Amino acid sequence: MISIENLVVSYKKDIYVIDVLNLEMQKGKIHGIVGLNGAGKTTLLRVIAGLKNPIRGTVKAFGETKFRKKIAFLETENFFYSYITGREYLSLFKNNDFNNDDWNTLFALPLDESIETYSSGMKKKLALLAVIRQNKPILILDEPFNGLDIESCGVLRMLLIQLKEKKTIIVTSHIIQTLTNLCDQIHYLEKGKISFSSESQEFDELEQNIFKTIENRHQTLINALSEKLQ
Amino acid sequence: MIKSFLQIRLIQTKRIADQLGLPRAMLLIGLLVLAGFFLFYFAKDSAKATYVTIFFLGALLVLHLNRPDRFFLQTHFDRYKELFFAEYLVFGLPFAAAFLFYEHFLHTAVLIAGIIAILPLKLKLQQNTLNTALQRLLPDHCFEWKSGVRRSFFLIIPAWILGLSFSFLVGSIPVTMVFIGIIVTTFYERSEPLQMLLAFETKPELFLKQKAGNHLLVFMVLMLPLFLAFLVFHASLWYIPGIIFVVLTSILLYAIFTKYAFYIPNSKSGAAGFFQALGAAALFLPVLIPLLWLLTIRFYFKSIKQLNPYLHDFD
Repeated sequence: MISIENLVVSYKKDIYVIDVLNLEMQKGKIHGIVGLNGAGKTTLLRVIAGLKNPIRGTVKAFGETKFRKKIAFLETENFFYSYITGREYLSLFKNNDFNNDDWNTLFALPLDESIETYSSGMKKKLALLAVIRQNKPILILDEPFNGLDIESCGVLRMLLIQLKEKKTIIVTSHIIQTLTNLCDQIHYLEKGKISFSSESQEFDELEQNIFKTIENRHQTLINALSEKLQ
Repeated sequence: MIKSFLQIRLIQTKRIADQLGLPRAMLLIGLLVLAGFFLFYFAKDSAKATYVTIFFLGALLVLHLNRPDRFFLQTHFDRYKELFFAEYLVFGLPFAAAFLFYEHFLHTAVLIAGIIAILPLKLKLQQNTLNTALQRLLPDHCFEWKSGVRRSFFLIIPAWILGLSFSFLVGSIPVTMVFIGIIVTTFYERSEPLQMLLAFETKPELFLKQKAGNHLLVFMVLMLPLFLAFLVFHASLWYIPGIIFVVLTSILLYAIFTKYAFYIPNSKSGAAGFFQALGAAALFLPVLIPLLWLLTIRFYFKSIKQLNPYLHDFD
């Protein structure tokens, strides 16, 4: 279980990206984090992954504050070292039980080619294989579906559902439907706080609420601006 | 077109100098003056001028084959080779001036002919798919070497084979060692992405120790046959490759620690680039070696500090 208490994160003085955030995420569930651009999703994930220090508050996993070794983290943008092959990249992550070729049948990547020849979707799949290869109890996946083709999205969804009994999985997305089809719990991040959390049976209501809020906020302006177009 | 292109390069150089800050920029200017002095000193003698020409063209070849802006220039300019030529001519100008000063007209002609010969060379496509036994022999964690050997395969391997083949000539092995040494220092230009750093799951001290040890070992394996071949033909001069080897290993260690002293995930730091160029310059300006040793110690501790935010909670 991951437990976050009174978390405050800032990049600039007096501007808080995360502002007194409390959250508990149980093992055996897929947790979705949704929010507008700049809401603090990536920052929250980086703090959980131990890559950004908070000003205040604590993040604990399995009761410990030092748990970097238990995390596999997929970043939004996936960068690789030039002139190495997919197979060489995967071999950096130690796991003798993970057969690259067996797992690669799911994604059909040209593992012996230099990563520079990969498309952005292929790079995402390679980064996902690396995350799975690490076989850590906590998976943090920032926008894992971005750039994936429809089949790979399906494969990833099935895979995460299969893995959730053994792991704590956190996924972010800009697209709410991606999360409602996958997650057991969705947390809505707004202005640095979790404004509400929903269980799977409440997802329809959550979607409606989100769209209603957006409508209320922007419909009048959209109407006014559209009128000026031919 | 060429004028505006060179102006852009000038602006870029100024920006890099701004990034470096005044003390480092002054140091750089001082080093360039010192390099100019040594260049004129070496160019005086015809035989030494030949070595200078070989070094210049070799270094230019490495630069040309690895330039990252090639695709951009090819797609945006029809006469991109003229741009390359103008740029290389500017680099070669001090060398040509030195040769002309001492009336080495043949060297000047070879220099210009060499630049023209390099222009059409392009090996990137083959390098992308290159998967030789050599790459497989390199340990998994030496990704800089896997990447670097793939990128510079057509320079390192022919140079290594030629060096061995002509080892009966006294200059062959030292030149080969220095040439390969320069290429190896370029392996550490770019910082790896964060996930690749985290994959090692070790504290900064241990990470640096393992990295330095493993990479020195790979470098020694590459250099040992050259060293032995030199001993076969010129045993009494054993100290020449010995000294070169010590200098090259110093520069290798320095390059590793410089990279991590300025580590920012997936980037190429201007300051790191400056200090790495200083390391390469030490091959030609031995007076810089003691400075390099001091900086190596400083950058070791700076690397620990720089890596700490990423690796601090690994046991």
